[in-house]
Amino acid sequence: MAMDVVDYEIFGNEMQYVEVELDPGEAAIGEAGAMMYMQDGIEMDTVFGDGSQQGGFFGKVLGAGKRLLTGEGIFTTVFHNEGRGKRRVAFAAPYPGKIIPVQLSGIGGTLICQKDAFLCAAKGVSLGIAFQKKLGVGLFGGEGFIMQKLEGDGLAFVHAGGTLKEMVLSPGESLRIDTGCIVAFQPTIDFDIKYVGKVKSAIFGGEGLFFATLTGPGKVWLQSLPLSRLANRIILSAPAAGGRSVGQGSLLGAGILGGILGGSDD
Amino acid sequence: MTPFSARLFGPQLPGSGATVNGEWQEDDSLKIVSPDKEWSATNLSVTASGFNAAGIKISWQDERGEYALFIDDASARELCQAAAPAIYSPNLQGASRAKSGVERRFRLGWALLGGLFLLPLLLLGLLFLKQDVVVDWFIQHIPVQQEARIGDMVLAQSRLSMQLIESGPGVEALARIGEKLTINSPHHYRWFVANQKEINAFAAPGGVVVVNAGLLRAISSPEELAGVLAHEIAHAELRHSLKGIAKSLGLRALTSLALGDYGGTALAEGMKKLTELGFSREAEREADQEGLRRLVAAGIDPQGMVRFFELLEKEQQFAPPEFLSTHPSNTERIVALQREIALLPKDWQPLEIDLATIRAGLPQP
Repeated sequence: MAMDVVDYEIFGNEMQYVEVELDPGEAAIGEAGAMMYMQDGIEMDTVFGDGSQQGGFFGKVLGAGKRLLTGEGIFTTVFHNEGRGKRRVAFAAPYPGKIIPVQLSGIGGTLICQKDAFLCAAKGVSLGIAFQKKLGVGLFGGEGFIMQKLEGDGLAFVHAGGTLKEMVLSPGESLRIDTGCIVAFQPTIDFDIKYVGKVKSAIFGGEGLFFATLTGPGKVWLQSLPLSRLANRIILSAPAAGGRSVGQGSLLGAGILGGILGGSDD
Repeated sequence: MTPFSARLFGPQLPGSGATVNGEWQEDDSLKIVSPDKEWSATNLSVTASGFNAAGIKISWQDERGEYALFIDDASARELCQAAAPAIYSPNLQGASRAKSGVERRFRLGWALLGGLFLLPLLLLGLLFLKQDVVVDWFIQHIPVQQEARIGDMVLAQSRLSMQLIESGPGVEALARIGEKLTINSPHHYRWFVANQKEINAFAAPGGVVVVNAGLLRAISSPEELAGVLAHEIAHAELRHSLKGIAKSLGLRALTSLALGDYGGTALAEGMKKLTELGFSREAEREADQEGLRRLVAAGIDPQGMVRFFELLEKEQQFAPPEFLSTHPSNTERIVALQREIALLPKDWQPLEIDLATIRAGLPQP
């Protein structure tokens, strides 16, 4: 299927939304519920799956099932311009963070990203699932066993928490990353885990037992604030909530002792 | 040779790589062609790399820095492998192995996890389908001591509903005949006469045999008594009543038996039911066979057993006693017994027991 070329503009600083301009006949797919506004002439159509399947009913059901696994809805919404001029539709990020545009044709056609990172894309980009097949990485890498695979040669927008950093790793260059901070990477990147190195660091270092490592060549995108960490801090400082800490960092670092000793500004 | 598509990373190339074509040369070098440039690479190192180790990374150094050629498309992989010079084929095969190794471990991991979840379900299903086999196995593995304790509980239950006579000529006669029939038994047998007028007898697990006074009055020879005892002993030895508990209550009760837990309500219910339990026709047939075998081994005339069944048959014509409602006593059983007895030699030692003395020792009805 031919990709639709879309123009876009990203608004906002920490809580962004992206406005996509569609020529007559062009279409974009959006995560269900991500649409913020759309101009006259844009028609909304909800399709089963991600709108890229050409197969019969079974193929569509399979696609929808995969979407469920990656934490997306069963349905995708297709926004197509039925008007005569250019029309705009906007998609908003669901939590503080940045939206990054990725031109899939420029990176070889495939992007692996953390599940739930997809925001919207030109029609024709297919959303697939990429199983993390290295058991250790799946268990301790911070991204789980199920990741999202965006394929095609159009433009896709992914979203993640905090500030996003695009980095280029040259061949053999390796980066150690706190688990959970990886947003997306090219499939040429080697994603692995590495033990932090010392028992003392593992227990008291606050970084957990393993680092995620990404080894080049290729492009990677990192987020500074994974949503789960943000949620953790909010719950910890919410007086009404039970304040249950969900494994970010070490056993003692930020959890119980931090709560007692850290004072009121935690 | 056929060129294969790949992605090249290196100095003065975009960070996300450039689409190129690779082609192996006769001199074992690799020629790489992009729309505007050409490289010739030697001294290559070949490894599995990328997400899930799914791609082949061919890297080399030149004066500008390190280059890496990345092949992940399946058809490109094949082309590359087919045309590769001999010196690189071990490494290429190693890369393929590394890829399939990751996939194999992944499948294995999930299979294990799935198995872990499914195993209890599977076992449960198996238990359900093969209930009889499981019950039999279980029954065979209950220790004799535990069985004796169950017998004690049944006895205690029976004492509540009937008067048991524990001594006297009747009990002595039962013990004398019983000893002959229970040679080499692991159980310690206890014999009782119940002050009940019905023609009935029952065996509880662990060697408790109770014969009603009514039965002692109805029979006409000690061999008939021996026949009844042989039948009941066979039930006890074959653990029919335990199977009865297992079938009516399920494995819940058995598990508590095997673990020696006698406090559970399941077992108490089972005890209550045990005396009212009937055996299946199959169990009765088995008990007849085993009883007959024991009679023959003890040298007691098995015709007594047949005569007892005939007596029951006759009684049935007036009012079916309780014994009959549970024991499928019929002519078929008698015929089956007669057929077997006909094949046996006829040299029996008569039992020296005086029925009149026994009856005199029984309480008045």
